[in-house]
Amino acid sequence: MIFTVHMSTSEEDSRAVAAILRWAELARVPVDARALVPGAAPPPGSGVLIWDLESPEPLPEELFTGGRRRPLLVLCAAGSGRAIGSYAVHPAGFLKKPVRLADLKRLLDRYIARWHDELERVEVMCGGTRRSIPLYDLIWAESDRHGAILHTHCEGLQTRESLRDLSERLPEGVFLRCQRSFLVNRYHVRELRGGGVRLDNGRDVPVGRSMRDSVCSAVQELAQIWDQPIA
Amino acid sequence: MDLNIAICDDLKEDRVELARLIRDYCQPRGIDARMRLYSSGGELLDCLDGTEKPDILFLDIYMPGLSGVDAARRLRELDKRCAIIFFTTSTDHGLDSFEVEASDYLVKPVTAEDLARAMDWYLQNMPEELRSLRVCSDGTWTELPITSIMYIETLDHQSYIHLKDRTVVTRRSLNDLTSDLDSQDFLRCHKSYLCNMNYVKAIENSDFRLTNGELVPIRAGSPGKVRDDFINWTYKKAWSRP
Repeated sequence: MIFTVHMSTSEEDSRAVAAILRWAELARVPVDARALVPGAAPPPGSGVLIWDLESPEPLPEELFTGGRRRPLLVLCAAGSGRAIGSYAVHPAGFLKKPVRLADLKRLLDRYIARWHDELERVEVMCGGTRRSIPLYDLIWAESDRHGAILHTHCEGLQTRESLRDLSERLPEGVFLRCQRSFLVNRYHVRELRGGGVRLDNGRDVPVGRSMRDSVCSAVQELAQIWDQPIA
Repeated sequence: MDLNIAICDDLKEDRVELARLIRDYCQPRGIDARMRLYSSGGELLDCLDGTEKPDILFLDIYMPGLSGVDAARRLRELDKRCAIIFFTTSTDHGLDSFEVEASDYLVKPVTAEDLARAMDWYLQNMPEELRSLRVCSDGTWTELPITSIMYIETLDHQSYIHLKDRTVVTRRSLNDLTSDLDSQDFLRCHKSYLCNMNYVKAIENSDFRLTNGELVPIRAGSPGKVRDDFINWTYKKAWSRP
């Protein structure tokens, strides 16, 4: 997935690129993020173009006529008037400045199906079938007496593989072990709630006593990442 | 084409004037616009529970009781598909309009040009369930709702479009129809078959079993690829669904 950013200043460009790469690392989406070269046309196709309406350059003409195949257009600015004016190009989203990474995450989650085929995956045998599950889609997993249950956005998948074996195959830093029998995807962790972590889908997963400190600091670190300013 | 359109504004003259502009836009384009008018956000939400949901909702913002933005938030909990177009005197709610995924924001007084711009965009980007495929069959042009097409097969230079309740025969090629449909829901599962995956109940050996019991063959050369495409589609569909 190609991200192109055009913010008000080159410092903001660099900050936005760094924030997007951090998002991609957690969502496990292969991403190429770069600032738009001044005067160049935005790349066509299925990428994402983030454009700060407070930058001196006007929106490129081709965005007004790009039809269905133009990049996913995300605009940002501080005022309501610019948001109303942006309906002339019908962006996929409009972010109010100051923009945090969490705002962009919420927006990109809505469109993630567009990049379904590009997402990094893990292969798991489920009921005699080899399933290739996007890591993004593996929200959390739990041990059970037959192996493990993998919870995705649309279903729970039973595998005979143990949670321990599975977690050894998963890329480092993506999942958080919050109890001996539970593993959660860092990307989908929303907050600490009571004795557990609350996930994006509203599910609470318990945290083991011995893991409380490490989970707590991981969740705090995630909060800082999502609070990172983009523009 | 039929469109259910709701207009919600506490000012009667604004409701009536907008309804007139919509009629003037729809009539020459052959669109049958069925309009319902509401005078408050509360009335709108009460009525939406019992009636057919609108395809497009024109919504004022400043109204007694529930504001248009709050009504839109409540509506979104019930219906993600409806296109919400704000029409208001205020320019203060542009950011709110994106929060509720509005399709447009028109500032009163709304002109015919403003309305045409908003409607043109809607018609070009309308939800798949409202799109149709235009084909010529037995010398007559007909509009087939895309969602009612179960599968298409080709035989002897003719395409047989199997709908839920009938079959339409046309001389257009399968490639041509595939490109015209431009839909992720259709899978070329065989050289001679294009299948609407919304109607697939199961994969049985080398066939798709459809919800009406019919079988659509899967190409022998790459059954695994077709199966993977189908599974990936179910995931994409689940993710895209509100």
